Amino acid sequence: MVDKLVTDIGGEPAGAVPQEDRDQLFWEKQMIAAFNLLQVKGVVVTDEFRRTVEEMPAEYYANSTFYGRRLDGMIRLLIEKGVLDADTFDKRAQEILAAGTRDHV
Amino acid sequence: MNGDEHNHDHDHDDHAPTREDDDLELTEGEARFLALKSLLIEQGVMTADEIRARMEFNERGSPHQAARMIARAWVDPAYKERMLSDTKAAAAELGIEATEAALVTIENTPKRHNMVVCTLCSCYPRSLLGEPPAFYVSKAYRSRAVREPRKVLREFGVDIPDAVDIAVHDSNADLRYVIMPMRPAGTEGLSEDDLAALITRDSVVGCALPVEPA
Repeated sequence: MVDKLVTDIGGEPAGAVPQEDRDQLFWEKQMIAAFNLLQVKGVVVTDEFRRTVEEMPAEYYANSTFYGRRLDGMIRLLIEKGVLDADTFDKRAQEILAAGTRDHV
Repeated sequence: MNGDEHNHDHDHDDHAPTREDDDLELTEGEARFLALKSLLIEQGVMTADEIRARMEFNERGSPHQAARMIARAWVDPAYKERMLSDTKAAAAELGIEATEAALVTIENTPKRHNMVVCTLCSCYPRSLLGEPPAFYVSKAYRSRAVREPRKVLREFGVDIPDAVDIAVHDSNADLRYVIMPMRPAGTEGLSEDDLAALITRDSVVGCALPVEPA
């Protein structure tokens, strides 16, 4: 028997559907635009991106958010493809988080 | 024609990417994205200008685009046929560039109501509707829409009579759906722009009915 993918939640029981809208944050819009460019430029393709999300551990997936999953999946994929260096990325992310500002970019 | 004027309940300017969220504390997610963005720019994978231009392009995708198409279809049977047979070409006729791999329009009828979900992720006709709403990407909607659509619709305040079938369409990255709601009664005298104002985002996903004319 084939295990279900973590993303394959159609038909599962679940609670109430959230009715409240939530506006996209500015960085989320930037992120979608940057990811669109990665596809347009042929750096990544949709199916390999989807695969990185499907490979997420079940518990991680269950607790993840829509934009968080996209970001983590893309980072994993870019590291896997050698576009990003994992250590360089981690260091940069820590520096930005420690600074707590948006000024450096 | 009213020219640029449109009376939608969704205000495009509110969503324009014109500012940083300076009033919000920097989260780990945003910091990680900013790190990714700065490295992609430093490494020459993309430029800041390209990101800005793509954000502006993405802002063109809004529910107004789908509303324009459906309103045209309501008044022009030949256009309606073209939209049902080739949605991307029908979008192009109205100057809308649809970047989706494939778009299919499904028409609601007195006997069948249609709704859209993407159970696996969040595939959505962004060129015609903008970014998907929170409910559409929620795990609850993705899980339940295919199992108990009538109940889900009731949570949205939409009561579909038992005599009307409900068909649920599961989107994927290669095929995305647009629902064409039925034109409400009492709209015979309305202009195309006024008709477009009745067509909400959620009605194009099949989670609402068009607004009743005043």
